[in-house]
Amino acid sequence: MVSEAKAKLKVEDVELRFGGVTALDDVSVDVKEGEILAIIGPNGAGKTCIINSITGYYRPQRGKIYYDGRQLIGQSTHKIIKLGISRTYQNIELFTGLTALENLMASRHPFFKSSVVSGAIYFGRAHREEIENRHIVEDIIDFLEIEAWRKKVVGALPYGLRKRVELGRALALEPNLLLLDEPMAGMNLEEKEDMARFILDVFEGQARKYPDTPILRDGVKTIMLIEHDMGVVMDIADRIMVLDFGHKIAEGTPKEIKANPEVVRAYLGEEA
Amino acid sequence: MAQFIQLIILGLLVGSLYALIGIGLVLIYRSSGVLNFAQGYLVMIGAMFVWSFAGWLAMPIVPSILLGLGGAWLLGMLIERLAVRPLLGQPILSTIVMTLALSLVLMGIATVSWGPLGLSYPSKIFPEEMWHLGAVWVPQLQFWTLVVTGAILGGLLFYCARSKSGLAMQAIADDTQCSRTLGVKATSVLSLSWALSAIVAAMGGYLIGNMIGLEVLSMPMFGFKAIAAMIVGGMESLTGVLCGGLLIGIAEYMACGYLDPWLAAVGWGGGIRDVFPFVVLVMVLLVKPYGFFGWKRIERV
Amino acid sequence: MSLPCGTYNRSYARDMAIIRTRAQWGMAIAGIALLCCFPRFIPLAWLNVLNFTMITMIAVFGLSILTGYTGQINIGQSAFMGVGAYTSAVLATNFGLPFWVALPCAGIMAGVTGLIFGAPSLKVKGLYLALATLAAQFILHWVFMHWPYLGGHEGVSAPYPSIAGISLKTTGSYFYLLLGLTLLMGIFAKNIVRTRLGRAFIAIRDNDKAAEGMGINVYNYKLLAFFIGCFYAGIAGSLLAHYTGFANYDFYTLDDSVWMLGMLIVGGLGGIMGAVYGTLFIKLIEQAFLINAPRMGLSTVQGATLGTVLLGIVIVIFIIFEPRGLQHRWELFKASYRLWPFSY
Repeated sequence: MVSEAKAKLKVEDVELRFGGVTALDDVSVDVKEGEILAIIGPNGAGKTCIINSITGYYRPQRGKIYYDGRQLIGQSTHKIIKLGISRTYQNIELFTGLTALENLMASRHPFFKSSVVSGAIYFGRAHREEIENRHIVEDIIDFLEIEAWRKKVVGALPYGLRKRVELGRALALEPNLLLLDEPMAGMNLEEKEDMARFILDVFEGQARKYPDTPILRDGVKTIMLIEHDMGVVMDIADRIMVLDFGHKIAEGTPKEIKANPEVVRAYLGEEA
Repeated sequence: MAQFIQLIILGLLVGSLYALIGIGLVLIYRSSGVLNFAQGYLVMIGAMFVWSFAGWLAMPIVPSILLGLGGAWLLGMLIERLAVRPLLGQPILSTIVMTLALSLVLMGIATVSWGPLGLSYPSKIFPEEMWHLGAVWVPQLQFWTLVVTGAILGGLLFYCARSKSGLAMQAIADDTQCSRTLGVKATSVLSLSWALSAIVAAMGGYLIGNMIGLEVLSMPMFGFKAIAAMIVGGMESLTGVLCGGLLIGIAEYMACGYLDPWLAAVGWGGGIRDVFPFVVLVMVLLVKPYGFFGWKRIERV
Repeated sequence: MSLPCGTYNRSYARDMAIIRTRAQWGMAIAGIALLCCFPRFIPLAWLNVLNFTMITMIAVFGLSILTGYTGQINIGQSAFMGVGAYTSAVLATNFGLPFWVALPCAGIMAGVTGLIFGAPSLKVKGLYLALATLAAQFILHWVFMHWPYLGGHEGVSAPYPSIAGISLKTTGSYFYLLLGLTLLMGIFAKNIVRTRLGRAFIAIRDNDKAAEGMGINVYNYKLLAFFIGCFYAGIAGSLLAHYTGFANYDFYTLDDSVWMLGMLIVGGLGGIMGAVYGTLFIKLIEQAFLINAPRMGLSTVQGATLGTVLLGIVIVIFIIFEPRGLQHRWELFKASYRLWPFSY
């Protein structure tokens, strides 16, 4: 049962302030292994701040964040990424000068072991590694159905495709914990359904289709998702946490959240 | 002790020149976001313009200065129109290399027009004698330079704060798009700031030419030291560049007075003056990159 | 990069290769063979120019990696060349080390100096970092002038290199050395840039916050870029010193650094080939002015200055109208003839 699983990520009493503004006020949440946790809340509630705090972009003034038992606060971002956490960005932070393929290959960075010198000589180790990683990246491209645009410079792609490349980049890091920051923002219904399908497929793992690529075969066991679209959230999330002006006002299963009067008042509006 | 005070005075005096040139740099940076690496070359050409009227054409000194400033005005506007305006919004590398390439062009033209040898102005405005205050001597020429610099700085500060075009400059620097929607013409602000900058540079050039020497090869160095002054004070601040300039000037002379003898003893020869401002620059970049009065940059993820 | 009409890559290896079709291999080999014949029929003066061009090209490769790919603007590349030059000269003359030992040492020394002046990149970026490199140019140049160990105005002499017993004294023999080294350094640069290091560098240039979020230790890689860029400069400096016979600070001024940045931009920032095009373009035109000065009725100095002014204007024109440089123009041209007779 999900509720008895170990907590993969533990956020404890985190307080994050910027000058006079308190972005997160004593926020605590557990993300258990094997579940999809959604965080919802109005704009400015501090949802992205949680992801930024977890990945080390912001440093909370108080509180602790544990991942697999390890303290994250104070670590530099690139080290946190190497522990197996990866994220997408609300505003799509792709490398606009590179093609979609190169963006994903760039994301495989921690998996390359060759040094500068072997890179300069190229033939031998670097060449082999390039090909190995290329196979994995091509599988991810295939999974996300963006083959036709892989050689296009990302800056020229439409928004929906860029969001997919962004997801691909996060997957290429082979995370054990995936943090998605509004992956469906700005998409139409069809695109949202596609994205939701991708997220669920990734969660479940596609062993039959991609037996050689670990990330797609085993899937990402734990996902934390920030979203605004209630339909999507209610459908895919196992548990939901509600944030309002930096405070956690509710946590529970979708059914419980729907029925929670506080949440209804602050965010969902009148019951239909 | 007397040496210490002497060094401070000399440092203040040369520092005022750096501040004067730096004013031009700050004006340009605030209005167009460009750091003008060619400022020193504008200084040099401005000084040469004045010399052309006073030396070649043998005109009296004051009209020469005015005509020289006019020439600088035109040059500033020309540069802005041809090289700066097309590059608005381009990445930094473009503007940096553009001003550097510009400096090559200006140097080439100057070398061909005025030659590599040192020149001098035929007549002087400022008296040459020194004032003696006890054991300390104050070069009168430098003192009047400081006064002129202060006057120009005061005038500019007043102008930026009060006059319509000055406020327009500030508005454009703050938020170009918004100012344009309010009817402020960005291009004329740009022209104005570059022209003003060139005039200030030319004035500085004349003063330097009087004081230290009028030479195509060595004058541009003042521009680079003024850049150091600008960083120390903070790139967007006029008061900052004044303080930065004075600071750099004093630091230079302190190094000259106390480090040079020691360097000469170990065979390194004198001349730490030439390089010390850049050592200060590096130290400031490591410790307080935005300078003492600069505006700090915050990035959002 | 688009391929000739009707050509497909059938494996990942082919997709990533620099030379992909047999036709390209043929052209490459023919080109190199042609270059090897140069010393036979090219006049000595022009051979000399080509030597200087190749030396500069190596330094511009380094600049391409540091400034073009990683986005760290370096206004002091020439000073780092000087570090390499003096290191090599001192090691060869004062310590009697053979050339092929002094050369890499020069590169390493220059690379380490680059690390020192790249250290501020932890706290500053963009324009401020460029100013640190400007300071590096002035400070290093001053040290070259004033440190008595470096011989002051006369500099340090650098003996002619001798490889496997053959002493390289003539312009022609040096040409072969430079040809080999330039090709080698160029290929290394191209390789570095198309593997993980190059992608990390581009990531840092385009979006360093996101690069951090991909497991790239941004500061370390910026320092690595400085090391590599300045290493190349050091190699170039050493080659220059041993070619001219001495290391002297007159060759390593701010103007030279500016020219190298100009070559990078004119050639095109986006690739190693850009460095090749830009260096060739500027050096050859500069030389054309020098050689033809008497014919135009000018002294050599005037001719050189005219060349300087015009090239400076050319650089500005490229910045304004074709910031992606000659390389981009060439890509457009290739794309159009490859697709012919189709229009897209």
